[in-house]
Amino acid sequence: MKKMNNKSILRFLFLGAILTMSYSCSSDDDSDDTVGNWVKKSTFNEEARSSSTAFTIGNIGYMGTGYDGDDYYDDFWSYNMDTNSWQQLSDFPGEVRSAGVSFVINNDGYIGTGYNGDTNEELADFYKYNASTNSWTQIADFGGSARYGAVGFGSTTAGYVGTGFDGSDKKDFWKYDPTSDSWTEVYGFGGDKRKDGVTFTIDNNVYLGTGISNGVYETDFWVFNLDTEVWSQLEDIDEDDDDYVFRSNAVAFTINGKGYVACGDYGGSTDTVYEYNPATEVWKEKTEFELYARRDAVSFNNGERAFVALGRNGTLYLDDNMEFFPTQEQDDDDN
Amino acid sequence: MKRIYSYITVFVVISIVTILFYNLQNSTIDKKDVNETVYSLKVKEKDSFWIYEVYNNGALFISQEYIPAVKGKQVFKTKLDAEKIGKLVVNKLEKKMFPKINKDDLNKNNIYYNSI
Repeated sequence: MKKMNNKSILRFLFLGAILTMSYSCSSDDDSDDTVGNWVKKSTFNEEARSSSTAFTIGNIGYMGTGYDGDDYYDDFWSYNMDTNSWQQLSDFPGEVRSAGVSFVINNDGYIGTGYNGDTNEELADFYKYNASTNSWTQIADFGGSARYGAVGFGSTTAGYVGTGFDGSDKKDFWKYDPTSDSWTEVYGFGGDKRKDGVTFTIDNNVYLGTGISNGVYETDFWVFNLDTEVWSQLEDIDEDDDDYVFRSNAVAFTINGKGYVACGDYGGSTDTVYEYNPATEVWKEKTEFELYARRDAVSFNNGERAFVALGRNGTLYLDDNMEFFPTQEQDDDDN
Repeated sequence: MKRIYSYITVFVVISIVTILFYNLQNSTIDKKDVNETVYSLKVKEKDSFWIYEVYNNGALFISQEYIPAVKGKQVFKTKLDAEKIGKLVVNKLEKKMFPKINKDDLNKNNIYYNSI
């Protein structure tokens, strides 16, 4: 009996030693190849959730709704990038939900669509958040079918929502006009239908990629010009065999004229980060996200700074908030 | 007879070592727990109203200027109101709950707000 115990303890130690060795080796390799540093910021300690919806106005990130594995949420928070602190704001007025979509038109934020697992329903309702009065107003319901996992982006005059899942995967796009409070369909997106894709905006160009349809990760990559409202196809994201940009449920953001796709799901949660340079149209791998790999996170992003928060890894729901510095060397002491 | 004594000695020594080990382990676990979840509350006057701030290990975590959950930039009119809700937030954090306040929490604590 005693012998057995000793043996299994030895086995554990051996396994642990191997794991530790392989772990430290792989992180050494990564830091040699990639640039970028992730720094831990003010975190909801152990208050975890995923599939929340977020947008950013100036230096304030806004985050609300989501799912923690048991409950769906309708609360709404702001994160101040300068003071590194959170504040609870006026509750989201629609029903609780996850995987909604958001966009910003001028200085107003909009959140709508999504999925309410309590009633097992896809949603089409939409709301506008006025940051200067901390209040919500219901606007016209989304023009397309009720859905979740869509993408959304805004210009100075309009908001756009498209793709997603309404029982099947979608590729239609709709434009919201705040002066007439109405939605009209915009045609011309020639890409594949998908859910859980991402967009990032550089100047007047919105880049759309990633996502999944019927278990296949989409590799097509598109740019939408906000002035001309024309979609153009770019080189597929798997054009270079060394790039593994394709994934679903990722986050995307822009820092100083370059686009970033981070984390997400590729047959399991991933922590990889890729940078897109619009001038050269080349993707480059950056330092991986330095905490748990995750999917369904949120990102706060004002074009100069970017934060990635919350999300989940399998059934482990996550609480942290990390800022990304794409040109710094990786530092393991600030996580 | 001698044998019994040596058995007892061995037993006692093992017991003491075990007890010491557990105590040591428990005390380090306790310390760790406390370190991880040190939340503190500050209630401050700002202009003619009250705000609360929650600190996590000394670092600002929540800075609440408006009454949470309700519509509009409504403020805490008294120090007591801000303190009651701030304490509730800290309690929730200490219980490892999401620190969200709902209208029930406000009503139960008799916080005055306009339901616009």
